[in-house]
Order: sequence, then structure tokens, then C-alpha cells
Amino acid sequence: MKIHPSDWPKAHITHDQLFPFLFILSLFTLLSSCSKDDFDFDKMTDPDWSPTWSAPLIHSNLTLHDILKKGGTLFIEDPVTHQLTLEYGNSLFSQSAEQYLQVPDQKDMKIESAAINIVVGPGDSTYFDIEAPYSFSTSQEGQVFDSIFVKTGAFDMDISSQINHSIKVIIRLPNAVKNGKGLEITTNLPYAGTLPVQKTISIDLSGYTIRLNNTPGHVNEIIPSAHMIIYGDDNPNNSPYTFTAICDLINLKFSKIIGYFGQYNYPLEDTLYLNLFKNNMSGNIHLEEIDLFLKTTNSIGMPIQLTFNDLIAHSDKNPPYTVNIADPSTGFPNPITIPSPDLAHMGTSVDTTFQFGENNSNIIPAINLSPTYIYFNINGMSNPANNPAFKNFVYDTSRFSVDFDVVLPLFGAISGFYVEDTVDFDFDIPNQASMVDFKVRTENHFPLNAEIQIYFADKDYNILDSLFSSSNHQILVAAPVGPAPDYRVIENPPIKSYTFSPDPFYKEDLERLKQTRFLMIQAKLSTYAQDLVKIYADYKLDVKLAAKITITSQN
Amino acid sequence: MKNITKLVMPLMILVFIVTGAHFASAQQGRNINFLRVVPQSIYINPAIVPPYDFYIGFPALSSLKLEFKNSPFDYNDVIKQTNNDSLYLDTQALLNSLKKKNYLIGEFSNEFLSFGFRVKQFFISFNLSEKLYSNIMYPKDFVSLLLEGNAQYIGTTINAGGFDVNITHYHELAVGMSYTISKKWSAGFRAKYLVGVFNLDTKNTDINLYSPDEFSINVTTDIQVNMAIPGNSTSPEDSLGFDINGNEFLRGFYSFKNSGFAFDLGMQYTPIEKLTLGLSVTDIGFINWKSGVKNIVTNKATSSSTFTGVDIGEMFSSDTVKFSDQLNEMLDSLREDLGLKVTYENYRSWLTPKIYLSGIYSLTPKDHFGLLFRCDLFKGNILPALTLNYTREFGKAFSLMAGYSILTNSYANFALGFAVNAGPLQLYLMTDNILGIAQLNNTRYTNTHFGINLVFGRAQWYQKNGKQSPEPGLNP
Repeated sequence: MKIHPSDWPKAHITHDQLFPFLFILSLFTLLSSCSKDDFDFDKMTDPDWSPTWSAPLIHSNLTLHDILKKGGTLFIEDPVTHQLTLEYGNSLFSQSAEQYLQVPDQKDMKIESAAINIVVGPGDSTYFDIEAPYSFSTSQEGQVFDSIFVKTGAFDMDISSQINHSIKVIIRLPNAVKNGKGLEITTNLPYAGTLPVQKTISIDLSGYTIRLNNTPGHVNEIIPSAHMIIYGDDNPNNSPYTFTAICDLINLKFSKIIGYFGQYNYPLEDTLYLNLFKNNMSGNIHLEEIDLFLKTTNSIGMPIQLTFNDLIAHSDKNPPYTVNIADPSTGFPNPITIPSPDLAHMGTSVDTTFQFGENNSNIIPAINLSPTYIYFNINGMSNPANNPAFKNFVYDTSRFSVDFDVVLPLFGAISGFYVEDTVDFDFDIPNQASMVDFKVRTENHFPLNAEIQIYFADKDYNILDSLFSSSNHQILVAAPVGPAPDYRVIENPPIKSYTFSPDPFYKEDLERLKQTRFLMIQAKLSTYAQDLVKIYADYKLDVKLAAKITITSQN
Repeated sequence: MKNITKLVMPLMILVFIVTGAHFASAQQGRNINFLRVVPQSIYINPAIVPPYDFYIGFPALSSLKLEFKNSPFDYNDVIKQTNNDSLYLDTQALLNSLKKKNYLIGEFSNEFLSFGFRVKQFFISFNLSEKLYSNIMYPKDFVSLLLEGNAQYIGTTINAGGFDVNITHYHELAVGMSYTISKKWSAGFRAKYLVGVFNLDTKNTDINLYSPDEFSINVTTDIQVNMAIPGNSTSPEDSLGFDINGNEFLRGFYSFKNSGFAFDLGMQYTPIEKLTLGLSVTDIGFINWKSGVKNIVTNKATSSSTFTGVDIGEMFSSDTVKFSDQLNEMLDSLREDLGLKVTYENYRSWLTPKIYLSGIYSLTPKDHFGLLFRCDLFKGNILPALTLNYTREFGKAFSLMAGYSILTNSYANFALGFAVNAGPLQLYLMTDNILGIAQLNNTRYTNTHFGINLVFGRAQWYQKNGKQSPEPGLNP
């Protein structure tokens, strides 16, 4: 396509056209310049902006086990009725036998003779025997050791000969037997022109059994001996000769020992804390069917007697503050003897259970005191009759234990039972929060009412505010209970849920609450109609907590 | 909190105002339809036959257009002055101004090269353009949730998402053809080859929150957000963050990996000498995104999770278990339930089609009255607009037009524009809302369209052939 200048538009701007053109162009320019300073963001301040956000914070479906499992509370569920029982227990252990029963080192057992009158010609030989009976020393008077099964120990000998001939010496300790053979050590003492001829020998006694002679006229006796063979030579006869073997049984540790060991004391002391009552401030609780079980397990082959110096329940809050559970007037047996295995049952334990209830102890008033703890102080004693004719045995690990179990079937009534707890808490809330409004919804399947108040406290425990300002703090409403003997919660019609709204916290409240370091939680508990109830494993508390928070951008 | 508000406030204002100064949509303005001495009017309706034998756009200056629209409010509606001369965002006014659906639309387009010529009854045109448009539909529920919180929505469902977004930057190479069928009919077609640079495109953004009471929140999500960012790496795997390689980012501007096609269709009918009717559809097309893609999707079609609070049961059993730990554990579980995941699948995004229906009545050879109905179809949202126009020709060298438009939630839009021809040099400048230029802080919609062309053989063809131009007012 060819374009000729004649094809160009014949347009040119005339006077009449120039004016509107310039006017429009000016208008565009003018209007564009008008908007230069429209936006001045330096002058912007925070907007008036107060959104209110709502969020669920907590939702838990709690069983009693969930609530109380911290603190070592043991729950027992009846497999048939599903009723819950709380059990608080402690175990006390005596020392093991090796810690209190020692076999002392037996030192300076001398096998010696200063009157060895022998003559032996060159190329000939002769012998000479020496016996040296020895009675063991014991750590306690009257102790008799029949057999000592040696776990570790040593038989040391220092041998010295003044005989100017070479000799062979056989040291024997027939009381020490291993694999059916008595202990026997053979050694040579060659004479080389210098006297005395000396030798030191140490024998490991591990695995040996030392059988001591306790037949009439003998006590804890062993008989070490030496058998010498003297070889003749050209040396002159200088008899009488002297021979000495000084023997020690040292560092004896037994794996088992049989005999009569006398009387030992076993002091036992402990405190059993009852978590259930930890935070109790005051009030009445009445539980039925409480028992205290004392379970012993004894692997010591000695009769043991237990004497209760103290067995008391204590509460700081509720009078009479202390109850003696082992009060003799209730028929509580004190002392009691716990049986032990006999020789025919070495290596076994004997278990015994003693039950203390309403008829032979003060356990019911003790628990209804809502005690924070039960204090035990017991002394055990072996061989209380001190009769050496009664054969004892112990293994190195033998000991006895005493378990105290307080069994609380959750069956009872509560009225006005106050508990209080203090927990660390930081009121960590944004500075811009201008309102916080909590809401609680509970669906309580427990037959338990709870009025709860929460106080906000500063670092010095000064109360800053409380969660509820009104007098109605009952956030748990007890589920109704059916008749005896089950006392079960009635679920038909279904349990209702209840919603509680504490007063909202506003800006000034929130400012004050920023100093909060502790929450002091107080609760007043009571059972349904303040009457008897039973707690079952399927009871649950459904608790929900939600919050609304208003954030205001302008401070 | 203060920092958040300081951040959010300028952000909102900047989104609504500053964006408008720098962006605009792949839509032509409305009133250029009536300034038919300007060859770029063919972009409204490809059936329009420019009144020249030949034109060529001044490189990079033949069509420079900025457009901005925020449908519910302008700056002055929401930014208020206090007694001490400081300014603040009036959140209540902001909320009151919002409709259920609100539109934030911006466009920037520039033509680097364009030309057209007549071959008998055909008029062929070419253009190479750069286009960046941003179409965003934001729901009132989201802003209300942000500004007022969720407490007011207890017992009702609120969508914390619900956005429709399509932000696209692409190159366009187009060839168009107008055909004069008869004195009364003409038809046109424009085919476009598109090369995508950047895209953010939502399929679903539903985050429905329902609290039957204060003690639980049910969250149901259905999210599919696609994006293509030059230089975007697929590592770290499954991360919601971005790892942009600088060199790859720059290379992405010249890559042809994201290609697409679009077309415009149109026809004109002149039932009587003084009346011209037009119908066209433009921007029917798509871009296939293959480079730098990333998809954020929910695992299942609909993911649902209910948050009822932290279970404090564990805290009774252990001193070491803390509320914050339990809360974090629960939030992690919630995130897992909602099943947000990242994929790297290729995808297709569609342009925003427009439908134009126009009529021009020439009262005299120099006075033309026009009416234009336009409808944008954006992800199921229909955005209608109606424009009235008067164009006056002062000889053959100068055309002046004025117009009035009603757009979605925007009623004060007064157009003004002109085109001047000095020899072969043509300069045009127009706006669909002159008040918007004057008072940016008081406008919801404005645009500016400017260009320089060299035009040749105006109406000569008609003279040579003794025919009437189908374009009103262009007969010699």
C-alpha cells in the first residue's frame, strides 16, 4: 500500500477549534494538579477499632481418675459394680541381712610348734603334724554360726620355718568345704642356707562353705592344721625346730548363713500423705467402710516382732488434729509378731496381712479427720524370745517389708467441705485488651456440688480481685442420687448442663490483674443433699471454658 | 496490637488508593468506544473500522492506560479528620459502606507496538502490548470479621475467606481484522497470543467458621489458590513460603513457557444512516501456567475440623504439661485436619470476558449521542456498567467527548476526552471520570487513557470508492 502526502488528513486546527482544545487540555492539567496533597499518611493515627473475639479455651471430659491421678493416688475399680476405691499406700523396708549381720575377720589363727624334734638322714624324709583348734569371734554375744556360705573372703597364711632342711607343707582347713573337699594348700619351703624360710599365701574362699563345730563343748570352732614332710640332707641336726603358720580369715561376706543370730532392731519410720485431703481447709467428710491394711513380707529366717511407737493421723485444720490409730483401747494389737520362713523353706518369703478396721482401730475417726498425712514409727526386733535353740538363717539379701495401705471406698457423705489451693499464674493478656468475659459450662455426672471462688493475688499474696463478685459461685450442681445400696446417679432424665458467667473484666480490672502471680482457688464441696453417695468409675465431669476478649486499638 | 493496626490501616488505604495510581484492568475504558477517530477504539469492538487507510502507534506511547476502581467506598468515606487535624480510619464508616461483595479492580496496560492498514474491505491491525490487571472481589464478611471480631457471629456461619482474585501480568500479541460486509454490516475478529509472566488466581477460598455457641468453632475449608511467580522454586517442599531465584525471576519476563490464547468478536449494524449499533465480546481466553507454579489447596474437597478448647486432662497428671503446649498441640492437629497442602501442578487461568452493547445516534454530522452497556464476567461475578456519551467534532482536527457512567456502586463518573489530529499526528487523552482525576480521595473509579498515533488516509478510501463510512461522522 502506497501512502502519498495527499492522503494525509486535511486537518488543521483553526481558531474555533483551538479554544476548546486548549480549554480541555488545561482542564486536565488543572484537575490533575488538584489531587497532589490529598493523601497525608503522616497524620494517620490508630483507627477506632475494637473487635471482640470469642474462642473456646478448655474442653475436658474428666473422670475422677483424671482429676486425682497426680500425687500417686491409686484407683481400684470394682470389676462388678465399678465402684471406685482410693488406695494410699507406703512401703517400709528393713535393712538387708548383709547390712547388719557381719562375720568379723578371724585373725591370728596360729598353727605352730617350737618343739619339733626330728632327725632325718641324707636322702631320707620324715613328717610332722600340727593342729590348732580355733573359735570364731562374733559381732554379738551369743551368736552361733553353724554354716557360713562364703560369697567372698580370703584365707591368708604367713608361714615361717626354722628347719635347716627343705620341707613340703600341707595346710588344711577341713571345715572349709568346696565341691565336697576340704580346703588344702600344699607348698614347698626349700632351705638355701638362710633361716627362717618364709612364705605368704592367700586363698580365695569364694564358694566355700565353712561348717563350724558347735557340738557340746565346742562353739563356732574350726580346726586348721599343718602336715610337714622334711627331706634329709647333709645339714646338721639343729632340732628342736620351730614352725609357725599364722592364718587369717578376712573380708568374709556370706551369701547365706545358718545359726542363731540374736536380737537386732529395725527402726522404721515414714509418712503417708493423703492427696485427697491435701487442700482441705475445713468441713466434714464421712466415709464408710474404711480399712487400714498392714501387709508384711518376710524372707528373714528369724521371727520378727513389730512394735508401733506411733501410728497417728494428723490434720492441721480439723480438730482434734491428731488421732492415734493404734490406740490399745480399740483392741489394736501392739506389738505384733510377723512369721518367718523355717529352715525347710529357706529362700522363700512369708506374707501376712493384718486388717485394721472399725472394730480394732481408730482408722474411721482418723480418716474422717480429713488428715493430710498418717505418720508411722515402728520398731522391729528379731528373735524376740531370744531363744538360741531356734535356728535362724538369712541370705545376704534377706529382709522384711511392711506395706501400709489405707483403702477408702468412695462411699460417704460430704457437707461444707472446704478445699483451697494456690497455683502460680501470670495474667498474660494483651495490653490492648479492654474487656475479657469468661463463660463456663459444666455437665456434672458426679453427685457433688461445688461452689468455687478464684482470687487473683499479687506476689505478696494480696488479693487483687475475684472471679465471681456475686454470692452465687456454684459452678457444679450435683447429679441426683438413687436409693441404697447402689446410691447411683440417676441419668434419666439426662443430666443438665449449667452455664455460668463471671462478671466481665474491664480495662481497669485488667490493668490491676496484670500484677497477678497466684490464683487462690477455694471450693466448698458437698454431696447431693449432703447425703450418702457412691462414686463410680463412669462418672464424668464435662467442663468447658470460653472467653470473649475485646481488643481496642486506641489506648 | 498497635503495630498491627498501624500495619493494617495504611495497607487497606494503599490497597484502595495507591494501587489505583499504578494499576488498572485489561479492560478498555468505556468512552473510547465513542471516540472513533482513535484507532484503539477497535479494542472495544473488533468490528469497528478505523477511518484511515493506515495507522501506526507511536512506539510505547500509542496506548497508555491506567485504571482503578474500588466499588464500595472512596478515601474520604473512610478516612476522617479529628479535631486536632490528625486522620484516622473510620472503621464503622468502612463497614457501613461495604456491600456483600466488593470489587477492587486495577489495570495498567501499555502498547509497545501497533499498526493497522486497510486492504479493500478489510482492515488489518496488529498490536504488541503489556498488560497487568488485578481483579479482586472481597466480601464484607471478611472485613467485618477483621474489624469486629467473631463474637457477633455466634450461631451463624461466616466465611473468613470467600475472595475471588485474579491478578495477571502478561504480554499480548494480537492480530485483528475488520470486514465491511455492506453499507449496513461490518464484523471483526481479533486473535491474541498471550505470554504469562505472573499470576495469582483463586478457584476457592472458603474458610467457613461456625460457632453454635461460645464453646466450639467449626472450621470448614475449601481452598484452591494457584499462583505462578517467575523464579519460584519448588523448594522447600510443601512450604507455604516462597523461594524466589533472582536471575530466574528476571528471566521469567522473557520466558514463553506460560502461553495462552484469547480472542475478541464483534459486529456492527447501521440500520439507518444516523444510527450505528454494535455488539462485541472481548477477552475470551486463557493462559496455561507452567513456569514458577505453586498451588495451595485443601487436601480434600472439603476439610472440616471442630475446635472446642484444650483438653486439660493431661495437666492434672503432670507438672510438666503446660496449657500453651496443649494449645499448640491442638492447633497443630487442627492444621492437619484442615489439610492445607502445597502442590506444584500446572493450571489454567481465564481472562475476564467483557460484553459490549452499544448504540450511536448522530444528530448532525458533528454531534453524536451514544449509549454503551458493558458487562464484565469475573469468576461468576457480573459487573454491569452503563455509559451515556456525547461527542462533538470540531472540524476534522479535533474531537471532544463527554460522558456519564453508572458502574457497580459508583454513580458519579463524568467522562471527558479529546482527540486532536495535526497532520498525521494524532494525540488523544481521555478519562472516564474527570472528577476522579481532580479528587482522587473522593473517587471510587477513575482511569486515564493517553496515546499518540500516526494516521494516514482518513476517509480517502471512502472518497475513492464513493461510499459512506460506516463510522458516524467520518464522512468527508
